[in-house]
Amino acid sequence: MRSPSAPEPSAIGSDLALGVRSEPVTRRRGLAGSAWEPYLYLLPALLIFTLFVAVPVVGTVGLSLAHWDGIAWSSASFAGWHNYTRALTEGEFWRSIWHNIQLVPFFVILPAILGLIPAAIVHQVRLKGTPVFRAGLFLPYIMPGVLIGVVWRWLLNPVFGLINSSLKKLGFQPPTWLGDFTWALPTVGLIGAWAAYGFCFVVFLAGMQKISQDLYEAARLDGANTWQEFFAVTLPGLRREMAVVLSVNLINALRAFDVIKATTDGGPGKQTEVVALYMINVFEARQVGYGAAIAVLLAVTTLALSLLVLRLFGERE
Amino acid sequence: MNRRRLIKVTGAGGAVIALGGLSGAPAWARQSGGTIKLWDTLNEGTRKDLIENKIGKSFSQSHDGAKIDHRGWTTEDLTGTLPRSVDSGQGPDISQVNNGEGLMGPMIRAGQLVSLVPYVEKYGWDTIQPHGLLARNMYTADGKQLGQGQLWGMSMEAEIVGFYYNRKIFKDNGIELPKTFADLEAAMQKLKDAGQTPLMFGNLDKWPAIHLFGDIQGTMTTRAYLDGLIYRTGKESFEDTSMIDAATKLKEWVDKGYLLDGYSGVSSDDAVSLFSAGQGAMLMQGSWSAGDIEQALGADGGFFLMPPKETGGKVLNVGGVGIPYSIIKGTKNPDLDAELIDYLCSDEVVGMIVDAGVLPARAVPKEKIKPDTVTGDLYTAFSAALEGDAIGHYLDWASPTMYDTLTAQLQALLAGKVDPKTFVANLQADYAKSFSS
Amino acid sequence: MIKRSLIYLLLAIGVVIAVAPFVVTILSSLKTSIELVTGVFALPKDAQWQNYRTAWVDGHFDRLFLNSLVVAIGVVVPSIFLSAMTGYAFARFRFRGSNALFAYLLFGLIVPLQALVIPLFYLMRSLHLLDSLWALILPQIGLSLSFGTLLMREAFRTIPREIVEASIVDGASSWKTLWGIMFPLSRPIVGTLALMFFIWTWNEFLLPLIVNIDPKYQTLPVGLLYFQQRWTSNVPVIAAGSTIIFLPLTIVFLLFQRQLIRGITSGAVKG
Repeated sequence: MRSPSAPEPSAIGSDLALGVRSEPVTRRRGLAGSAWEPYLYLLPALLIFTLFVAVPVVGTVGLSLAHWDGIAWSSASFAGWHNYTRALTEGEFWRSIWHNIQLVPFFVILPAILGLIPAAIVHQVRLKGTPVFRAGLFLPYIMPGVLIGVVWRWLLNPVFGLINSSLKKLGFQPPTWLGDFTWALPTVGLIGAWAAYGFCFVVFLAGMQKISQDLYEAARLDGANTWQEFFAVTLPGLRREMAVVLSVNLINALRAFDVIKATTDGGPGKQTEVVALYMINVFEARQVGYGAAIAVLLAVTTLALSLLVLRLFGERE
Repeated sequence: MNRRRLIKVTGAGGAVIALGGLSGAPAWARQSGGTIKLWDTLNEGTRKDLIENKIGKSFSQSHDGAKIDHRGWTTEDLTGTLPRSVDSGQGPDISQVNNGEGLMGPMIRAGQLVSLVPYVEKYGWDTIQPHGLLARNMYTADGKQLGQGQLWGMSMEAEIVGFYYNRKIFKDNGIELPKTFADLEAAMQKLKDAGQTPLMFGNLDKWPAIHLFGDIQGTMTTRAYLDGLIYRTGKESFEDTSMIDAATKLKEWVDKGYLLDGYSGVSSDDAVSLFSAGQGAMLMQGSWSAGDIEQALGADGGFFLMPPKETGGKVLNVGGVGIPYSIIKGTKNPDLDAELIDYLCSDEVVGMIVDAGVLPARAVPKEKIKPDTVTGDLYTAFSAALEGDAIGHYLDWASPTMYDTLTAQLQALLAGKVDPKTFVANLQADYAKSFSS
Repeated sequence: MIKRSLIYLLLAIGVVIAVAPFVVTILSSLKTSIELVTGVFALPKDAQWQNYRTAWVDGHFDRLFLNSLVVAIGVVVPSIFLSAMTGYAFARFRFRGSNALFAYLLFGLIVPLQALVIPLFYLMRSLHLLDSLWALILPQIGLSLSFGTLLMREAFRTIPREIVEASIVDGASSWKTLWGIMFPLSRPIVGTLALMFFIWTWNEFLLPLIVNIDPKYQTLPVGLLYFQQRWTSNVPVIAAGSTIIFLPLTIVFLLFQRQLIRGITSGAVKG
């Protein structure tokens, strides 16, 4: 998946949220070319993008207005808004959305905190060997979700997994985690947090290193202690990084799929059935139009919520 | 939940396969004449070798050099690709077509399959397999009613679910092979008291509980009820005493600690591995694991089917047929296609199938059975089940959404989140809804 | 000093937690399935190297590996090239519809791939591209362009105007200015972008599954899936397959991680 699962889509942020700021390098038009020159630069990219991204998107919107079992075109029929009203009135869609919402603290807030604290310490103390830590912490972020799911399944296995055998040795009676009605969703959430905190760390650290030393010195002259420095200088200086981290993590929480599919497949019961998983199950039941409607709703929700976060945290220029 | 479904959900990103399923038609030309274009799911190792070399060669020799142009797919890919290929005129001559509403029904309704009626008569296909197996490949002529009417495909392979057991653990604890359901429960209690894990079981993948529940229910039900339910005659309901009793019994087993401690967090593969490592006295699993378990446990391994309520009673064992072979509309030479399908069901091929370690859809010849081995036990039990028409169903066939509903509800039942009555009512709600839409 | 050691210790724990699962995968890939259930961190008695052989030969990971590599290069190189052109157009020129076109391209960042795969399949079929590496390369270029355009525009905007103007005064065409001056000056961002594109393409799972049926044209992650279907209870072989997938990724990442981090530091975040 391009982008959201990817680090630092950065400036997407403010551009989408604040309207596109265009500040061309040369303000005079056509300095070294004619009026149609920029279009020539754009043409090949626009062609490929239109054909392989935009056209299929339109296709999906079209499918969402149809009843279709996915067998032969002749069996498709026009459904109007039916698929949408169905999604919005039946409980399943809302239940799966609710599961995504419950994942937000784990996918969004927890990794941000877990990344921020060590980044602040490393920045404060100016440790040697930072690149090694950075590389190590970042590693989970580049791994395929399916692989992450499979690995955590082994680690969390109640019979021979590392975590439960350690806990049992310490005298605890651990739950079955992924198989437990109460614990499954938080466990999946913690796996998500694990996969993301290294990314947050790297982005925050990079941001901190760009904060001007003068600000810190000024704070010190004012007699600020470490904590005050953190809250008065570091945190406000990370506004943009915060927007990036939160919006990327939020998109991940909304689209959570691979890891959950590979660990619980939505179970136990429906405890971890998130929207993307629900959509896939709908496709599997050969309700292609309904599945497409859920895809559209998911895309629209993602857009709306990420814009909201960027508005809240984006720079006010 | 059968092996095909199993493959789907154990696959890493199984989910997207649904979409993968909607993929499709490679643009190569249809061939004709003495070549049969055959698509199926025999896509690797011994099974691929079986169809391409063994079966292909001997068919060619006995049929004027007719050639098989074979292509093996994964089940999901085939299921998704086939209808669209046929729709665009690029389909094969013969293909495996997934049973029921998964694919066969919609394809019949879309006019994509050739009726097998003349060939059934010519080759006597309706007599070589028990009716219980054939019915899964039957639909009415309009493709609306499963399990009735005419045959639309013939299956070469079969599968059955039962108990693998560890002979050594049985012997050490003085346990005989259970003859009745009560024997089985007594054996589990005895093993439990001795500190053993009576039943190795892992339900993290959600579907294994379908097998366990289905086999228990199979001791309490009738053929008429179960067929009616699965073939969707509209006369049967999930709200049946056999369903409630089976759910109650299953929950009782959980509460008594017969299942592996921590089963809800253990995957099916891990349960098989644990059992293969000598942990657990029994394991409920399908026939497809026989080879692996025989290899791991050697002479200590054995297999038996769910014992009946009373001696001599009947159990409808969870199981089914391999995906049936159908003739695809647009083929140039349906008669030759039918010859091949007939050959796939012949004694000659049954022998080859067994040698390849696959369960055929017909009784296993006696000379192929090695007594007191896992596969030996399996073949014997399976042949008996065929003879007694004792192969039941995968309950998730009942509606297009039943797999999701049933697995979720079973997890809830096992965890004590729903009582048996509510459990059954929830299944019925899904079932009833599938008739209205 | 004690404080420092403590911080090192904490960071080390963080790294161990991040890396341990991958170590577990490698360990598992060298075990038998029975050893696997005896303990996650237990060392295998004899390293089962044949698990890799099984994956490489029986799982056809040799061919999958080559496909993955070809697709990765086939996506990364043109995507960089095209992103530089679009980024340049938006950064350098003022033209009618530039805001709308920019927003249009960015739209690709929000659309989940799941939302377009079904029509994509039909599109590929009508273009006769199903079952080819093109079916993997072209859509992934399209999907890469959103992020690429955004990042390259940011990169080009940070280049001081005087440099560009000097080049123009020297009589260089805009094309020459782009490839001779702007592009080389943006090397860190280009590096970041290339790495991101590589990781995405290498891990892409859904697309190959849908547009390519013939296993001949599959890539590693889907190969792993096929593989899992065949060896359902042979976890060590799956672990070996997983290792084959993530090891090259890790190596590429470790080799270029400075580049990546520098890219983030110098431009991507601050824009």
